[in-house]
Amino acid sequence: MSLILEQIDISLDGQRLLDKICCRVDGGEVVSVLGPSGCGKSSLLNLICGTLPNSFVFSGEVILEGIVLNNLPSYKRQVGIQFQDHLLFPHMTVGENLAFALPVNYKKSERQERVEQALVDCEMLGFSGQNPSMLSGGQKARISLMRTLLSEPKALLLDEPFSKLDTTLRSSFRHFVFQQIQSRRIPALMVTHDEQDIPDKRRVIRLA
Amino acid sequence: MKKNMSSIRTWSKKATSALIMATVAFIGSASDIEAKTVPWQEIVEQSKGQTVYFNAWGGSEQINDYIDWATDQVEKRYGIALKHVKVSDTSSVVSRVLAEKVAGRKSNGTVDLVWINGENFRSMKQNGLLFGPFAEDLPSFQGVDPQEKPTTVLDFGEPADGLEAPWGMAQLVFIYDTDTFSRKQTTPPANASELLEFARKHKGRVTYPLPPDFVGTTFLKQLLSELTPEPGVLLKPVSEADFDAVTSPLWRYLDELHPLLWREGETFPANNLALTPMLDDGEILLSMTFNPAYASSAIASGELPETVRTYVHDAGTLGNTHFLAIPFNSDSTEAAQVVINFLLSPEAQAHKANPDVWGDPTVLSMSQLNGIERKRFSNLPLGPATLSPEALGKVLPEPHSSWVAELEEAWKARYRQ
Amino acid sequence: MSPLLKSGKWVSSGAVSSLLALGLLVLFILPVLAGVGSIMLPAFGYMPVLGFETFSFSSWQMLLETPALIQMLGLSLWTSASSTLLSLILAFGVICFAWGTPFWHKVQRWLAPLMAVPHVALAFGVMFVLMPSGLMARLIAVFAGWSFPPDWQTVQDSYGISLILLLVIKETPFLIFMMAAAVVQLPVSDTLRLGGSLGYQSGVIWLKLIWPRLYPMIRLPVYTVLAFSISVVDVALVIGPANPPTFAVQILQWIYDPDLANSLLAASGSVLLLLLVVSVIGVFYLTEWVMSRLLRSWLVNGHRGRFSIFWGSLSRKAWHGLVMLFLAGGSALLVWSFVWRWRFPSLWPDWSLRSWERAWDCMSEPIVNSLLIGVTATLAANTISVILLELNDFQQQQSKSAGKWLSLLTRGAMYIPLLLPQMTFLFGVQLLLLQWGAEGHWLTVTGLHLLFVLPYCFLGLSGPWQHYDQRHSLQGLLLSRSWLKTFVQVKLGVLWRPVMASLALGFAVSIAQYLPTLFASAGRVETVTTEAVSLVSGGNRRLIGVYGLVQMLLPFIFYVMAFFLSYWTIKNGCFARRLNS
Repeated sequence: MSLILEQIDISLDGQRLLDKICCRVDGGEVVSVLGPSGCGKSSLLNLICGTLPNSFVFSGEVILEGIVLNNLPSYKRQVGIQFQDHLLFPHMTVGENLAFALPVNYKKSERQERVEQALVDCEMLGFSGQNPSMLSGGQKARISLMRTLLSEPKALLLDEPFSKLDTTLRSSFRHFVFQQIQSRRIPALMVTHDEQDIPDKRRVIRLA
Repeated sequence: MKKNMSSIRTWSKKATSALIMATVAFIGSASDIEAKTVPWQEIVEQSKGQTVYFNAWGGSEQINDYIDWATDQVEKRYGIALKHVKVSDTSSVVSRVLAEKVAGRKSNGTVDLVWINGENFRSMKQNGLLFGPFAEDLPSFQGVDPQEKPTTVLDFGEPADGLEAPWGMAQLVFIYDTDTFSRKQTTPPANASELLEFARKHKGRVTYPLPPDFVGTTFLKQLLSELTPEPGVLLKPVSEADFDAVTSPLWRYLDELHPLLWREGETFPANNLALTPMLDDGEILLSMTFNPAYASSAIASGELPETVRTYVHDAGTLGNTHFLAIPFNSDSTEAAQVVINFLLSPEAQAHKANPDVWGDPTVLSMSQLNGIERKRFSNLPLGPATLSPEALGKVLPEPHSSWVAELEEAWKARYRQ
Repeated sequence: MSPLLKSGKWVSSGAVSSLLALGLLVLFILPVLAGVGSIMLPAFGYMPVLGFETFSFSSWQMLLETPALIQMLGLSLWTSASSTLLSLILAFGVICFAWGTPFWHKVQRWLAPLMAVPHVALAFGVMFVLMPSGLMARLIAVFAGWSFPPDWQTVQDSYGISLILLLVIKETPFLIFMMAAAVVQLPVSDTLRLGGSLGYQSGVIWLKLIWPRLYPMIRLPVYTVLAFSISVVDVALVIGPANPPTFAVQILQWIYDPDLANSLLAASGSVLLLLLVVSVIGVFYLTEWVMSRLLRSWLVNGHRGRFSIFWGSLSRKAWHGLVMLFLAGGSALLVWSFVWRWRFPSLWPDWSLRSWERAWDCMSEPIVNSLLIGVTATLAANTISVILLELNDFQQQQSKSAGKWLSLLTRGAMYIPLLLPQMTFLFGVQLLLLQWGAEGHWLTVTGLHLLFVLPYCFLGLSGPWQHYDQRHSLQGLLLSRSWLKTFVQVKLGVLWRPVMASLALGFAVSIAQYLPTLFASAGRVETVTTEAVSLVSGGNRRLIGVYGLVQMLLPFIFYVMAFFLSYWTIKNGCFARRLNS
């Protein structure tokens, strides 16, 4: 499994945001994208998951497992994304939030099992019927990540995933995220502005 | 179904009679004091500056224009402000005045002058809602000859008693387009049974206005007068007749006719004027009106082609008179009388009879007029589609006004889907 | 910031302001409740005003014996429920496929004119297009070689399809407008991104993730549409079935029957209509409740959606169809108003200015009345709305819970006249007016209009007021030390556009009122709307064209004026663009 960015240029209103970005992320790896706000970090993520507004102009290729994603609509790309906001759906229970992400081909009993397993993985067994608004910040973040992973993405994008958590929660959640990525062998691209978040100092793209 | 009907009837009768008993005394005495003694000149003087709210059906451009003309005239001549309140149904005016009376609004009523006849007049008269008698004291009334035109004082069998002044004459006539008829190679039906044949031949192209529309109900009465074995019964109050026996030929006829009608008789146009554009477009082949000159004026206003003509059934058609009356609680009775007097004058009547204006036949009798006045009428064009008095044939008398409600209820009970 | 009252020494200003707000609400709600109340006794035979002084059930018995009662009730139910559901589906379809795309801007451009056009004018226009000798049939006739109009049931059909169609054209833009106002409070773009990354198509994201949160926010507007379409009379008279008519029309016919006993029947009928509205709303609520339970497993079954494109283009087409019909209707009115002769199947009429010339004299008074009533009602409604909103804001600053309670109460009160069937409480109000002899004055008519204009203005303004950042006013107050100056120059300045929009909306609502005008005017105060409806009975298409067009243009002129004023201002005698436009 690998995510490859080849010669990515993005410009807006004639102004170049990203210039010839090249990068290869292998399964289980986390490549960090660092830079000040407005440097085009979010545009890069939007480009990969297919939600870049039409006003942006880009060239280059995004390749996931040998397939060029450029012309696929967002929902066919199988790229999971984790925002700094947890964005749990308030009209669904915790369990339903997780089940929502599961692919359609699982049978009903299997869906149940997978949801339970995900809850075990994030040490939240028994929370299935809970209203998401009752959870703590750390719990919400974990459920949110499990939900993304349950959709079985072939790559994971992390958009400042830790910036809204307080310092104590931050390190434990960081640990949890990287562990999940490693054990599932998914390529991951993480946007951050905090040096401390970076798991592997050698794999960093610095944008100006 | 019959049982339901009669229970509605008795109920409403009871309610109405209770109402009358409670209030009739007051009105009776009040109206006696008025009128008679006051000389006309004084009424004219008092009328100056008064405002008259004239509640008249407002669905016709020609009629509205005519009333506009009258508004200018009475303003110029008498300083009266005439305001045309365009109503879509005169019965709503009756119910409003009635409601005002029972609510104790004995003066400053919202209606000063109303265009009325038949059932609505009977209802107002019986409930003591009318000012007067005044009509026969109007100077212009001298032009009316009740001998020649009996319906000018007898409104659907109900004596006018001077509580309303005649305004125009009406007779049911049918309208058709000669051009369309020659293309379809057909001729107008001459009686009820020919009409049925006509409808069978031209399925979906015949209809009539939805009762209780005035013309719609008149059409029912016309059929009833033609079909019932003893039409004489119709002239008496309905309570004196065997309603079912008298009307059963009508229902048998309609049961046969309705499936042949426009939209299979499931629905009907709201009134006779709604038939006009349908006739114009050829959506239907026959229209009907209570104004013999209507077709001519509709040609003049561009609503119908120049090839339309009118006809009547061989045995004659129903005719009547429409009137003007003043509600009891009007504050402008003087001005209302002056307006009525003007509308009844040879000048206003002749203007009204002009098919380019409205084409409504006059209530005045030529024998009562002087030479100049008569000339106003003889100079009028007849209008291309208007039948001469001879061709209009026999005028059938209207059934007693009490038949109206009964017929309408029975029709509703049978033909509402 | 709205210290309308300087904080008193003995009485807290909070208590005074909430009392003031409550007083205004009571003044507003009283006529509505009095109207409903005054209908109850007559419904059971007691109406001393009209001489009925004993209680009885006889009017109910009469009601039950009315020919085709069930059909009429069924017709009302069917037309209102299906038109509401269709509008709701269409509105949602448009929102979810247009949101965030260029198409959305096009939709938005049409919302204001579609909402501003009075129902009756639209009904005339649609009638001219669809009727058997209308534009559509004429176009077909050219190819089919017809020389006579077909025996179509395209208007006033007995199933009420044409009435439903008209209501859909009119209500869909309103629901889109309400949905758009609600949707901005939801994290739509994040949800769409997230849903897309989970593999969901956007249509399904709207359906499974946004709709369940959106619907509760527009529930009340949906119910107002429902209540309105059950008790609407003017449109039903023009384009609805006639034999039998819808139940509301039947009630109006009873009210205007010369036999006063039918007033009791009308009263009982009005109560029945109220019951009908309550039960339909109840059914809608129950359905929502059941659906939200039954569909939970569907929500999480993992289906990502198919046919998204199909549904997208379908709702786009439906919207285009709706706009086309509106435009065709408007053009048909325009054409007919200049027609001399235009027989079927001709496509090209003989032109004439006659209808305008003849109508012009008679129209000046109704137009003046409409303007007088509309402008007065709109100004009053917006002033009261702003006062109420300011009092709410003030209360909110005094005490969070009391403020919340007050604003909930205000909102609720505003919805009452929109949720109750007009026929029911207006008939009751008319009985009261009759007793007081207050009928027939333009101020009375304006007062009744206010019952409908005020809620729309208030609800329209409450969103912008909520989103207003109070810190602007705080800053202004610190700098100017005058709350009046702050309110006028800062708050009204910031909220200028919504206020202009609300003025235009209020006027449009007033112009469209038929029953309130009819009941309060006693025929003496004629507006273009009452004139237009009474003209239908005459069937003169040229005149209908003229009146329909004028009725359409009046609110439109106000929209244009409001639009202009919200972008431009006069500075030193020249037009200048407003900064925050």
